[in-house]
Amino acid sequence: MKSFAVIQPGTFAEAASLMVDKKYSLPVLKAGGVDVLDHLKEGLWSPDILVNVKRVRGENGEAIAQSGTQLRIEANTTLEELARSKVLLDVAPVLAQAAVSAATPQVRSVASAAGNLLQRPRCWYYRHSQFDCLKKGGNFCYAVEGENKFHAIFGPGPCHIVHPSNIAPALMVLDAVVYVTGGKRESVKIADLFHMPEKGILSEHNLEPGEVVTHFTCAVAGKSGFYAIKEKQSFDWPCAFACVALEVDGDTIKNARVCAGAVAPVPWNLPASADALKGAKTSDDAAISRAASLASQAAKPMRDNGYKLAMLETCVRRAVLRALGRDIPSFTGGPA
Amino acid sequence: MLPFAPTITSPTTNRPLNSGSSINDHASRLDGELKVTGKAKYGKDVYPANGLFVAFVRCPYGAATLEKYDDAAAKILPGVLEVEITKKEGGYHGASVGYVVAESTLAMKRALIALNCQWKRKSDVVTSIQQGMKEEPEVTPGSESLLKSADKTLDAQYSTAVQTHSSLETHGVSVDHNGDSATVYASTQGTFSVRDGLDDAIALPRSKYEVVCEFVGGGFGSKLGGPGKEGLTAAKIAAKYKRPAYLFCNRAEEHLDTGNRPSSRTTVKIAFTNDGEIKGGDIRTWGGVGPNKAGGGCNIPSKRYQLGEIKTGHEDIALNAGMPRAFRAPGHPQGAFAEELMLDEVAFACGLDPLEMRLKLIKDNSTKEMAQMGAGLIGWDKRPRTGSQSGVIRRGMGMGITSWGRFPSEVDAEVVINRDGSVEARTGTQDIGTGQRTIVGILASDGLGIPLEAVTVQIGRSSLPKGPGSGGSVTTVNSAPAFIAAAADAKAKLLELVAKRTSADAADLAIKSGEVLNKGNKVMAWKDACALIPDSIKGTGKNFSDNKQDKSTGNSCGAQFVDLEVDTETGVIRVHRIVAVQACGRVVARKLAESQVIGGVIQGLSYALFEDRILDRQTGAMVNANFDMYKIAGTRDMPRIEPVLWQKGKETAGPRSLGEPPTVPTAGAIACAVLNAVGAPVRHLPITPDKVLAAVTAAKANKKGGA
Amino acid sequence: MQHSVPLHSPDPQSESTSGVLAARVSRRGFMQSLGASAAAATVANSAQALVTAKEAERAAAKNAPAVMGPGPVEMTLNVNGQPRPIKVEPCTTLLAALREHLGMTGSKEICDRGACGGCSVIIDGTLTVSCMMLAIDAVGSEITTVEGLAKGGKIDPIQEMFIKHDALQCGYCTPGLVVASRWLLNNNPSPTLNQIRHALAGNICRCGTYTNVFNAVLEASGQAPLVDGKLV
Repeated sequence: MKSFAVIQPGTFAEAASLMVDKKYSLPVLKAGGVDVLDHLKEGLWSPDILVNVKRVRGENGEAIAQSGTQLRIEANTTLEELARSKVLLDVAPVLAQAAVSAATPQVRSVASAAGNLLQRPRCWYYRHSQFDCLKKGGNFCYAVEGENKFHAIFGPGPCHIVHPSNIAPALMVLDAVVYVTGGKRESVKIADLFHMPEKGILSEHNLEPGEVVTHFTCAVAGKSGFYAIKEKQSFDWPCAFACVALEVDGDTIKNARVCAGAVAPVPWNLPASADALKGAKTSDDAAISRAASLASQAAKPMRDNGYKLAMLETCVRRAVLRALGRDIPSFTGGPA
Repeated sequence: MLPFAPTITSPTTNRPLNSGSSINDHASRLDGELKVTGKAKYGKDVYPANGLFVAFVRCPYGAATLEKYDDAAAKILPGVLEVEITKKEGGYHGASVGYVVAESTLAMKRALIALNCQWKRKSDVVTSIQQGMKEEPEVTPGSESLLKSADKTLDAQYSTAVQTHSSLETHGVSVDHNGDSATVYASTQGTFSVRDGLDDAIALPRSKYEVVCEFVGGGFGSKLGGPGKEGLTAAKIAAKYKRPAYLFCNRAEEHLDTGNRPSSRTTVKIAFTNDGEIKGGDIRTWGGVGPNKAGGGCNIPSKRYQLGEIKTGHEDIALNAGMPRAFRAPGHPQGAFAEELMLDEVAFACGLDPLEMRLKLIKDNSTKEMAQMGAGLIGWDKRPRTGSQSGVIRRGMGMGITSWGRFPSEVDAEVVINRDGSVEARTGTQDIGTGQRTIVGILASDGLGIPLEAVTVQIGRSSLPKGPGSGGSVTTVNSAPAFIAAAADAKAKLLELVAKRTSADAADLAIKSGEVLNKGNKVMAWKDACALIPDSIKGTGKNFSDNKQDKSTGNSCGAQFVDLEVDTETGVIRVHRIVAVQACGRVVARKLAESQVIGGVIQGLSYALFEDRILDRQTGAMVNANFDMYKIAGTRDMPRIEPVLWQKGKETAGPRSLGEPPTVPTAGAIACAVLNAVGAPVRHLPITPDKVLAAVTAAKANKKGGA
Repeated sequence: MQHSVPLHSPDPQSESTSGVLAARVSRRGFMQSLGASAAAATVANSAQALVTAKEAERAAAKNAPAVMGPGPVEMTLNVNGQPRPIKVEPCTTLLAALREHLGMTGSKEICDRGACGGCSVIIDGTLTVSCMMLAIDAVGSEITTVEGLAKGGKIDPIQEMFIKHDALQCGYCTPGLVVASRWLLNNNPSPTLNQIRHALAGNICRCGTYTNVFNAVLEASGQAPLVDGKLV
C-alpha cells in the first residue's frame, strides 16, 4: 500500500475534528482496523493519514453496561466482548449471538462494535479494484448480470449489496440509538443510520464527515434470538440471518421486532412478520410459520439468489423459537 | 545443514484398529519440533540480506489488452530498480505480462501501483464449460439400442467446480545469489527438477549452485514441473544484478496462476436391468481448462466397476482462466463423484441397497473385502432407505471406492555409518508434508537394527543423492526399496568388519536394538562395532525407474463410507463420520500413513461441499481469489475421520502408493449420502445449501420409495 | 518528510477543554508552517522543545496526538518478553515487522487478509491475526509469537502433543494453530471438543490435520483423545 501517516487522538471528539481537518486530503478513521486494512491492501483507498482510535476508551469504564432496561455499549467494545458478555447473554442474547456468529476468534478480538456497524460491503465487485462499480463512482453494477448468488433479494437497486454487519439487525430489534460526536446532532436512531442505495450510493450510512461514533444504547430484550445460515460453519459470511426481539406475557407474544441481515442493502426490517407475531401463542407453530413466511414478501430475487427466500423464512422462524427458548431442529450432537 | 533432534515417540492409543500395522507404529515426525516451534525455514521465509523483491504485472480480466502504463512513474520511486513489460495481451485473470524489481516489499508493491496499468477488456470471455461447448453430442448407435431395450435408463448430467490447490506456502523462490555462487530456496515438489531447469537462467555452472528445499508448505501437485516462471524470473534477475532475488506469489496470484483441478461436466446415458446390472451406454466428459485447451481429463468410467459396454468421449473446453495442473489424483475425484452418484441413482431406481449392488459390480476382490469392512464400521445396517424420510433433519450414508497404480521412479539412497556411531540417511528428495524425512529415517534405522533416534536424515538439497519429485504418490513407494537396499548394504559392510575382528561368520551376525548379535548372542554394542570403521561406511541403494520387481505393490485400493445429516430447512450438511479403509502395503510409519489418509479425506470433503473458483461471467475475473470467499473446510466442518490401514495378511512386498487414493472417493461418497438423506440427488459440486434445498423440493415433487 | 520524532511538545496548560482546543490550534498552525527538511531546524529553533517518541506516546495519552510517519518511525515492540526496536513506516503490519524486520519467520504470511489464522499471535492475552494489525498498534503490548512458547529450552506441552498426535504435515499452518491452541488453553484449561472447534475456527489447514489437532489439544489439557469407532 501507499504510505500514510498515523495520528492517535486521545478522544473521539478529537478524532472527529481531525476527520474534517482541511490539512488532510483523505483521512480514514481506524478502530480495530480489519476492514480498513482490507481496503488498503486491495488498493481501494489511499489515505494520507489514518486517524487511529483503536485505543480510545469511552467515558464509561465498562465495555458493556446495564442500567435498568437500557444497555450501553462503547464504540470500541470488541465483538468478542459482546459475544462473551454475561450481561448480554442474560438480557439481550440476540446481540451476543449475532456477535459470536461473526468472523473468527482472531478477528472478533480486535473488531470494534462501531467498526462492525460501519464496515463497507463484502460484494466482490466492490472489494476488487478492477471493477469500476457504482459504489466506487463508476456507472455500472456488475452484480446485475454477474455472479449474484450472495447479493440482495430486496431493493430495486441500482446497487445490490447486502449490508455486511452482523450486529446491525440485532441493534435494530433492540431499538438502538447511536451516539456521535463532532457533528450537530448528539445521536441517530439505528433505523435512520443506514440508507438504501437509491438514496446515496457512495456510502451505506448517514453519518456526516466529521461525525464519529462514541457509543450506543439499546433496550434489553430477554426473549430475543438470532439465527443464521452459512455454507461453511467454521468461518463464513451468512447467506441469510434474522434477529428477533419479543415481549412475552405468560404464553402470548405481546410485541415483536424482526430484522433480517444479508438480504438487503440495509438491515431489513420485517414489520409484517412482527405484526403477525403479535398476539400469537408462544406454542403456536402455525402462527410462527405464517409470520415467518411473510418475511419474503416483496422480495426481488436476482438470477442466482432465489434460494435466500426460503432461507430467510427459516431464519425468522428459528430466531423466534430461539427467542422463546424453544427447541430448534438441530443435528445430532448439537450444531457444529 | 539443519540439525534434526530426535522427537517424542510414545504410543498413541486412539487408533487401536491400526496397531501393529507398520514397521514403526509410534514414530513421530522427525521435523515435528522444528515445525511446532516455528524454527523450520521454508523458501518463503528466506529474506536474504541485500535482496531484491520481484513481482509479476498481471492481467486483471479474462481477456484484455494493456493499453497504457506509466513505467516512468514506477521507476522513479525510491528502491525500484526495474520495470519490464513483455506482453500487451492477457488471456486470463492473472496472466503475467511483465515484472517489477525493487529493494523492498513496500517498494515492489508501490511500483505496481504507480505503474497504473490501463487495461481494455475484451467482451468475449468464456467462463464455463456450458458456455464454451458445442451442442450436446448424439447418442452412439450401440448405446442407442441398449437404451431402447433396457429395463431402466438413467439420463443425467453431473458437474464439478474448479478447485485451486491453495497451498498455504505460495509458489516462489528465494535465490541467494552473489554473482559467483547461489543457493536457491525453492517451494517445490521437485528439488532436482528445479535444479535441472535453472542452469541457463541462473548463469552459473551446476557446481556453483544448490537447490535447497528442506520444508515445503504444501504443493498437492502444483509445484512439480521445475522452477516455473517464478524460479526462472527470480534466477534471471539475481544473475543480472548479482544480488539475491525473492519472488513469491501472494494469495490472489496463487489462486489465479499456479494451476488447479479443472472443472468437469459428465453426461451419463446408461441402460440397466431391474437388478442393478449395468448394460452399458454413453458416458461423456468435458473439462474446463485454460486458454491452451489441455489437462482437463475426468476419469469416468474408473474401470473399478463392471459397467457393460460403455462408449466414452472427452473434450477440453478452453476458458479464459488459469489453466489446470496436476492436483492430487488428477481427473479422479471428478470422475469418481459422477460414477458413485450415478451408481446410487441406479440403486435408487431399482430399489436396491447400493452396497449390495456394488458388491456385484466391483471387479477387485480386495476392494470388496474393504467395502464390507467399511460398511461394518460405519454401521451400514442403520442406513435409512432413500426417500423414506420426511423429517427436518435427515440422515444419510454413502460410499465410494478408490484405486491407484504404482509409478516407478529412480531413487538413489545413501546410508552412511560414521566411526562415532552416528548414522546419516541421505536423499535429495523433498518432504512436502508427507513425512518423507521420517520415513527415510525409519527405513534406515529398521534396516540397520538401531533406534530411530540414532539416525540423522538429510533431505531436500540437490547436492544430495537424486530422488523423485513428490507426485503420483511415488515417493515412499520408490524410496523404500532404495533405502532398504542402502541400509542393507551399509549393514553388510559393517558386519564384515565385525566378522573379521571376532573371527565370526558374517552370515551368523545380526544387529537388533543397537546390539550386534552372533547367532542371537550379544557380541558387541553398536558403538564398539562402529569404532572398527576406519572413517565411514557408505551403503547405497537404487530404485530403477523401470523396476518391474514389485508387481504386487500396485493398486492401492480402498473404500470410504460417509455418515451425515442434512437439515432440509436450511440446506446445511453436517458430516458426522467418514471411515476410510485404505490398502497401503507394508506401512513404514503408522501415524504418518494415517495422516495421509485423513488429509486426503478432508480435501475430498472440502471439494465436495465448499470449494469453487468463481469467475465473473462478464469480465472473466476470478471474484473469490482469497480465503474468505474461496471456502476451505475448517474445524467446525470436520467429521470424525477414521483411517483404517488395510493389509491382507503380512505384507512383505513393500509400501503402496498412498498420497492420492484417499482423496478420490470422498466427494462421491458424500454425494451418495446426500441422495440417501434427501431422496433426490445433488449432481453438481460443491454441494452447497442452495442446491440441497432445490433437491429437497425436487424430492417432495417426486415422492417415491426406494433403498 | 522523514521525521521519526513528533514535531511538538505537550502543552502543560491544556488540561481544560478550551486549553486543548487552543493548544491544538496552535499545534495545527505550527505543523502547517513546517516545510519538508526544514522541519528539524524549525523545531529546534522553536520555543517548543523536541521530544522523543516515548514522550510523544505519553503526550498522546494526555491530549496531544503526534503524527507518525509517513516515513519510517522508531518504535519498540515487546516480543516474547524482549524489547525489539525497529524503524518502519506506519503502514507496516505487525506480521511484516516480525518477518521482514525482526527475522522472526515463525508467524506465516498465508492469505494476508486475516482469513486463515496462519499469522496468529497473542497480544496482551488476546489472540489475533498479525497481518491485519499495524505494528504501531502493538507498541506497548506484550506480543507472544510461536517462537515464544518454548520456555527454558523446553517446548510447550501443546507443542509436544502436536508432535505426538501428528497434528501437522507440511507444517505451514502449524505455528498459527499452535498459538491459537495455546491461547485457548490459557483461557479454558479443559475445553470440550466443541470449544476446541470454535476456538480454532479461524485457522485453515490445507493438508488436513484438524482431527489430529483436536486430539493434541485434548491430551494437552489432560483429557483423553477421541477413540475411533464412537459417534461424537
